[in-house]
Amino acid sequence: MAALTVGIILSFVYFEYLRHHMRKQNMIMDAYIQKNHHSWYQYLLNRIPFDENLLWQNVSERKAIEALLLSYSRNVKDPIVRTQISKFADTYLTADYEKSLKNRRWSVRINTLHRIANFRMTTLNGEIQSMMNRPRSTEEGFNLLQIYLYVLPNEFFDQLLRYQDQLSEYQFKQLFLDISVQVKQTIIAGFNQLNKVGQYAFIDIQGKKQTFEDHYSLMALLDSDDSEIRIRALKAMSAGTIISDKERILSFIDSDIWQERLMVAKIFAKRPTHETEDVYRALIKDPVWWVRNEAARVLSLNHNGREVLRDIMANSDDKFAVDVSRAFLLKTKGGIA
Amino acid sequence: MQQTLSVIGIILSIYMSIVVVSYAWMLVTAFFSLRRFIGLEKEDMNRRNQGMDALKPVSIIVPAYNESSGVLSSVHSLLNLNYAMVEIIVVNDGSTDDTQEKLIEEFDMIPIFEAIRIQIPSNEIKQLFQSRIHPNLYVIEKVNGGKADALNAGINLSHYPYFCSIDGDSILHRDALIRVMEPVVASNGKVIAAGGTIRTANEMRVDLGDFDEPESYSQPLVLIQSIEYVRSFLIGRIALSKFNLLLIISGAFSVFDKQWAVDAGGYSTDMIGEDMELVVKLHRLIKDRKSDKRIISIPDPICYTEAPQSLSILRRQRRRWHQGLLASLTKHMNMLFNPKYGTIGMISLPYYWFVEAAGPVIELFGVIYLIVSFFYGNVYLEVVALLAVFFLIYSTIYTIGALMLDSITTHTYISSRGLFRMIVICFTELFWYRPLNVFWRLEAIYRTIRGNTDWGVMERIGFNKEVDKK
Repeated sequence: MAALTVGIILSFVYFEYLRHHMRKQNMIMDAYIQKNHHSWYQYLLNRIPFDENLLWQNVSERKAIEALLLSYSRNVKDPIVRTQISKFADTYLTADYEKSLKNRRWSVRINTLHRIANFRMTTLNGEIQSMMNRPRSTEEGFNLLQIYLYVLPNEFFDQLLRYQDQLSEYQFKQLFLDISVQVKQTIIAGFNQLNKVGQYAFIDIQGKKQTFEDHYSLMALLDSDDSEIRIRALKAMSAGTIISDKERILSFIDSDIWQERLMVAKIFAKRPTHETEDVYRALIKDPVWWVRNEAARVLSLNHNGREVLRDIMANSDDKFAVDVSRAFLLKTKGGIA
Repeated sequence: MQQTLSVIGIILSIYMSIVVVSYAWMLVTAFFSLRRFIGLEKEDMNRRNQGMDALKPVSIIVPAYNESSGVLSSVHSLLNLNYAMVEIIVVNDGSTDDTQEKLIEEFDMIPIFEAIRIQIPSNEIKQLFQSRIHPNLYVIEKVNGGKADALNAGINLSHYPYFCSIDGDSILHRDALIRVMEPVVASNGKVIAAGGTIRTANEMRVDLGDFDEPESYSQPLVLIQSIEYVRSFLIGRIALSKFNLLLIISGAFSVFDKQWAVDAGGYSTDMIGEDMELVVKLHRLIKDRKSDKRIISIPDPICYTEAPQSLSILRRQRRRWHQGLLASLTKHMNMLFNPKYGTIGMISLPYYWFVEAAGPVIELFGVIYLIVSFFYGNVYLEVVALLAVFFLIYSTIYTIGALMLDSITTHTYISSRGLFRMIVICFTELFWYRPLNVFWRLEAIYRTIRGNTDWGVMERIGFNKEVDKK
């Protein structure tokens, strides 16, 4: 019973201490931000020389500064602000972060890596390079690669190749979403060195912010023997508006793989109906529901397309094509599609 | 007789030791699993995920049968989720109240015609509606067929590769879907189902999907359930999940790989515990296909659900849960101690059978044993008192451990007043809540033996009276 009493008292003390600590920390952080946010604004946006009185007196104030800088780095894309944040972090936070990177607790190391990446710090490059030689966890390896992407872009691709087998498609995508033009060119040139997962992820991301260079690199992939690569390349193209070789893409309308036919329907969605009517009349009779549905959806997007759908509904002897035409005409009538 | 009593006493002691050791192992395992998250700042991860398309699109399926009191709050909370690609499918399973009318009016829904690919059989779909304000919101009106049938209809309509099932009276935390989907996509398809942590929501203020959790619940019945939820989700499920031993992920909030769920035959409409049944079927499929897929539970995606506030409703709920457990375990009896099913057959199923399912019978047996032994003069009252104290201590330590794990995952710390109330309720639990639970579960066993599979009606209060009374 005595053990229980002691245990309960200790748990009261534990929770009360944590609550008190958290409340006090929040109070100090709020007070610091209230008092100094204007001075920080002046330093970050107007490049007023840094006033050392803004430096922290205790850990809570340092956390307040980090919160402030994180907020700016997440919400402001201005290069001046980014430079000012990096300058401050490099000058005043390096020593603390160097220590934190060696902390035994995984969460402390991860939080520190997030900050180094967010603040684009360069003074810890040596530590980052030595950590990358032997990351202590997959999450750390991934976060280190993110730092390479921002502050050591020339070494990023080599490190990525070295570490790629540890990464999931999702992590590849997270990395590729943030790449600069220069890094993107390196990856396009070394595309075949990526493993399959990396290749798939890169193709998907190329579709998001598509340039002519991306488009031509995607077109080249249409000759791949891997059907997944062809489908993803077509899908990535469907996210953009560039169609450089109409005939090459149209050749997939006769593909045995329904996903390739579906992508044809998606790619021509942004072209005027009079150019693509025949394509969609063929696709709406496709044996696969997804392809028919996509063809009808695309046709329902504009007036001329809806006329085609009405015509199919009235005259087609394909019951599935009639059904899907009716479905999309009803939706557009209700103001949805 | 004396000898028989001694033998029974030894068996009961062994059983108790196994239970105590199992729970202790779970507490320790959960602690080591969650310890790494102490102090981890999740803001960066959430922000990184919010705007990106690296996460897979998800169809959220909300089965609703007479959920008029809470359905609007629930849908508003889903519309407020931080997630890039999501569609919401509310399945009105033949409600007799105004659930559907409320939805149609609130979200400006119009009837649409869409060919639905029937991958899993379900009762007839009468009509399909789509919102003009939120085109990613659908309502299916169908003939009543039960929750499982409604979920199957939702799966058939869903357009995305993953679906999330949530109860009509549940509210999801804004980041819940991101947090549950991150490990799913990060696993490169290895995780095929994931369950989130559920918490009680009774005295929570909900406003258009935004909400405040109370520090402590004023009603003892709700408070004890809130403790139960924390203990179950942050200890039991986290520990079992670590070794891919999880047989239950809550139907109130779980995500599934659609193809695997379809291949497993979807939700079983002839079973009470359809959520557990699907998980067991998935485990069976994983082993049959000799695959290394996993089913996991995640500590922090938070879903709030209304806990019963009266004993009669709680009784029905617990009866139903236990009947569901028994039905599923009985159906998959051939997996028990079957080496073909690996750790599921050799560890998980025996645990669920002997600790969870048979627990109430053995507890009852223990009480009868004590009474009989008392009359035979075999019981030392000091030993009984000592045992009672031991279980009090154990239950209190277990609860405090769960609260600590909770503070680790949520970065919130319970007040002294709240902790005091929880400890007091833990002390009394053994004398009122535990016996009631044992009795209800015994009722469930009796009903299962009798073949009674009636669900019982659950009455809901609703989260936001102003929104829901519209």
